[in-house]
Amino acid sequence: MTLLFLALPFVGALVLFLLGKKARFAQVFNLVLQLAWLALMFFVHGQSREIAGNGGFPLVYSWKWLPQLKSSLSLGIDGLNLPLLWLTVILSLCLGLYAYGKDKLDGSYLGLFSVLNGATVGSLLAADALAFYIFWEFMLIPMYFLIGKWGSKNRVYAALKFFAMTMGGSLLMLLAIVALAFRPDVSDLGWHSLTQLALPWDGQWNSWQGLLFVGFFAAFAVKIPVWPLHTWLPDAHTEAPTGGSVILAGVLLKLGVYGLLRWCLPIVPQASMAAAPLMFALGVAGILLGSFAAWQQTDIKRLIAYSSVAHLGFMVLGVFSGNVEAMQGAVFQNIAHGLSTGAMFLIFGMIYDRTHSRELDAYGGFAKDHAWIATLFLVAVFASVGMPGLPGFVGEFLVLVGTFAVAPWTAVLASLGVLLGAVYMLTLVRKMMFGPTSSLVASHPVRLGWNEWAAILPLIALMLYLGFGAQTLLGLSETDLRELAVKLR
Amino acid sequence: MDLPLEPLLRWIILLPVIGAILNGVFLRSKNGILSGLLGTAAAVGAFIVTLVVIGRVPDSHGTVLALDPWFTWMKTGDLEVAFQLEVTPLTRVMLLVVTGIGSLIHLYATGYMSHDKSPWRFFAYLNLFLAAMLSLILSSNLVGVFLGWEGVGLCSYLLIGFWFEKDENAAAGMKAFVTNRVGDLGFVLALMVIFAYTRTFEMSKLVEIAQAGQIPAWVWLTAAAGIFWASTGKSAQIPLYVWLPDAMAGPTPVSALIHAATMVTSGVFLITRVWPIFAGQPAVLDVVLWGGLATAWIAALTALTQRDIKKVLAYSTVSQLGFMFVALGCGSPAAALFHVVTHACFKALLFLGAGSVIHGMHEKQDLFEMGGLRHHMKWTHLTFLAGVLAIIGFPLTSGFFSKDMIIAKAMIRGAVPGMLLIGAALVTSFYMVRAYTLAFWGEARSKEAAHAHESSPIMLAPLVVLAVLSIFVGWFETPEVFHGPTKFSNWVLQSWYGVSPAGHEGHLSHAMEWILMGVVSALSLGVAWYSFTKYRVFRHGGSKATALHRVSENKFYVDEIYAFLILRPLKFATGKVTKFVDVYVINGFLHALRDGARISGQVLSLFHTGSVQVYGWYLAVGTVLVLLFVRWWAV
Repeated sequence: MTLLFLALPFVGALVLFLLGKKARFAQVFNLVLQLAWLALMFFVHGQSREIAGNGGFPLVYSWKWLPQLKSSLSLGIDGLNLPLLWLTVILSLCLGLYAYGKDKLDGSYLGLFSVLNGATVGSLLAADALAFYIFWEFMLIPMYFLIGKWGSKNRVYAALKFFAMTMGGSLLMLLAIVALAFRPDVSDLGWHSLTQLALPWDGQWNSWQGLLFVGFFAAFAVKIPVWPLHTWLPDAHTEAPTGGSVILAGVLLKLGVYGLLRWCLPIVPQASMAAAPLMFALGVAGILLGSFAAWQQTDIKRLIAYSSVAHLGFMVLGVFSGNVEAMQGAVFQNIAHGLSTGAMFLIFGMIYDRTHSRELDAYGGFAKDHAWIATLFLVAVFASVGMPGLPGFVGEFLVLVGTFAVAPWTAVLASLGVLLGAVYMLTLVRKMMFGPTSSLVASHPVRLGWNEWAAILPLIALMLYLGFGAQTLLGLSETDLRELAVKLR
Repeated sequence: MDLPLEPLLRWIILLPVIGAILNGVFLRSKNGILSGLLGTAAAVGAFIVTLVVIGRVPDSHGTVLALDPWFTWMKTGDLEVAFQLEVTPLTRVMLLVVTGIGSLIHLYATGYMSHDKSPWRFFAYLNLFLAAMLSLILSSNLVGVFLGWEGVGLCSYLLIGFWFEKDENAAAGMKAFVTNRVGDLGFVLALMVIFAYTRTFEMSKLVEIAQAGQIPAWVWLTAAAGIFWASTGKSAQIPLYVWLPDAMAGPTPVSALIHAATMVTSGVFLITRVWPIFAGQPAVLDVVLWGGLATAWIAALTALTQRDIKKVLAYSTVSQLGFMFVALGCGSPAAALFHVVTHACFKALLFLGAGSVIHGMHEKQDLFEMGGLRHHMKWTHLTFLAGVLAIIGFPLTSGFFSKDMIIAKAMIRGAVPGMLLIGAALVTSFYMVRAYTLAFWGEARSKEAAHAHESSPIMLAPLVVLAVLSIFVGWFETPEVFHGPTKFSNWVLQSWYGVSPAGHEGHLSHAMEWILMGVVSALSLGVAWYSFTKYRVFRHGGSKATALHRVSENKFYVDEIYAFLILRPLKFATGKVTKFVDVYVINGFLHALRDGARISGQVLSLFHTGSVQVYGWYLAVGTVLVLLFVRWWAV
């Protein structure tokens, strides 16, 4: 069942490519495909309910596809990837709904998305380092085209920058994996054997642990992105089409955090913890400089993109704090940020489809005639600002509390992000939603179709639920993170 | 210990939430009366549940009178946060104030907002505010309090900017939220340090641990300082009070409920709630005392010259909150809480009265354009007068008792704080009577004033109830020399989970207490009379404005100073820094890398087609080929 779940997007993509320019057919087919995928997700969840959440990353499928490279296509499910699988499936269904009826978003666009989805869940499920790497790299290709072909004015520059930087990071990870494969004591590249390695660590960075850490971290750091490797993100976010921005913020960045927790920390635990002070510095730099940059932006998508840099800074802190509370915070923030930022990009994308302007100063008084859209946007904004009762708070709170235990001053500096978040986000709301109605807003009324409402509402509903129902997710990943925390001690 | 379980408690929060959802999501009616009555019903419902709960709990001497272990919010590692509600003697009082006065203000607002374009939105926000405020009061742990704390901030933001088409309203809302967030950094700091050392957020455990004294002292110092800093935001103290006067941009019932009676007192409430943490921190209490005194004075001096009736009341609120902090600083949370309650009654009354005046004056708020309103608005006039008498401490009104208690405590603390506080009380007398006289006496000074109309009964009824409360509510806590009840002191003492923190319990002699009461009352009435005679006959711009007058009129230039010293430099510097780092350093480096690669890549120009698709296909095909090669041909 899990294999089918993984294969379906790839198979569906082939059909979508064939449908090509027949946009309407492709969109309908895509919706059916997404619904079928969602149904499969329920099955996968049901099947794994017994095993996920007990730790140990249980395998659900394994096939020795490349014995020569000590690699097999093995898939596992646990509390770390299950929530992200859900997030991917839900976001892509929402994007399928959003795409419906938009002539430009034809079969090739939807097909690329489907490939992206397949690669995403592939890298989430992979329990083998090489398989992980392949899916990981495969995410690049469709994203590159999505930005390069369907993006806005400066798309080629953004696509290339995204591609080159991510690729650069990934190559180092490939080196790390290949190096591991050549070690005689590595019988296979499966997650279970790699995490049992217990490589020696003597504090030297040119040791195995040190170099492997650099390799893995490089790939994940670019993806997250960790400051100062973040400059591809504002460009990619801004130039990408709406769907691209949503999936980028909602899922792709999340894989960086996931990768750290899944691969980097368990394989090279001591090196990772030794790097923690540097990571704290980078995390705080991301929070503060990302927030300051967001405050300066006049392009709405760029502003939201920089807010991601700040939020992901929190997650870096959470991951490298190495205690259960903080790592839970990072894992939870992963989902929370995916929902809130995804929703913000989605809603703004719908507005942009009508107004064709990203200039913040061109907007004003949007809330007057669009009470519902404004309300939903505000829910996402306050989730992002860390309002208790919405999920962003749970993530930030756990990260801060957990980080304080190991690095008090880091946590104190990071808490400034809570204030700065309010500054730039409320500036956005004030200029865009409130005040006198601008001519741009007055001349471009935004009337959403049923499919667009249907795309936004699940995200909002999930946010409202998770704010108080945080335990649903925290309970899932608790055991896995406890095991990891023991390893890191 | 057997805890009295009471699942009814959650309904005190749920009813307003349901009201908000009904109004905000389903009904969305333009009919102000309908929306208003629905909102009022939710508030009254919460009030009734509160009464039922309070009626059911035995008046034991324990702290937790009722407990509702609702649900687990976050549980991971050592951290466990439940959404758990409890009633203590202290929270019982606050519950009554918030739901009771809240209900009255909802009723009043039903009349006040009946002609608004989107009353449903107003009442949805107002109900949501109640729910957040009640969570703040009911929660048994600090994280739940923080939820309410931020929630009331959010609702305050939405309600200040309720008429968001005007940019300054939206700006005022944002200023309130951001300023409060500056304060919240202190709250977050307190949460972090408390968890790091105690591993719990439950207040019952915290006060015990604080009393046991095994945790390093600096932890409690940091926690107390953090909570105090947060309170200067929420309860509008120096240096963060600047948002409150601007918050008057919201509809007047909001000013009454949120920015006078309930939300702004939550800082005082919180400090009282976790008092054992503060009791051992003389350094923090000194800051609380002197900060409170300074706030009381600065705000009172600013109120002297304001022309906008709501601004006078806003600065008066800041000043009265200063009184409460003085009480805390003198080590008397009971006096602070007592003043919270009496102030809630008379300040809500004054704001609602001002709202009635504004309504009758067709949205004019300038005192200089009023005058003679007592002829046109009998009920508003009489009830407003009751509020003024209470706030200036007319003998035997509620304000008399609570203010006297604080002044006595300050006197015990020392002659200087005592005298300063009496001074601030005298200034209060002056500016309140000035505002009252300018509005209701003399000749009508504008067309609107000459044709002002009295408000509808739905608005007047809450005024009358509040007027009665303002006069009589003080009898719950009487000075020692009266040999009357001292309920507040008892309630507050019972609210620390059996912990009785050491305080310096000084006493004034009975003679001294009588003298103090008499002298302060006499002085206050004298100042009031002087102010009345001075403003009864209005002379526009008669005497030349002194320098102090100009400084007061311009609110001590605090906003300008903050903008000049903090905001503008910060925005400028961060703009330069981020641009420099991102654009020049990081991207500059990347572009140099790219250009270098481009030159060396000339060799590969064969494949350089310039088409992005082709690159992608190279990659895809290449990946597959490599994989196939490895799978079937490699060793």
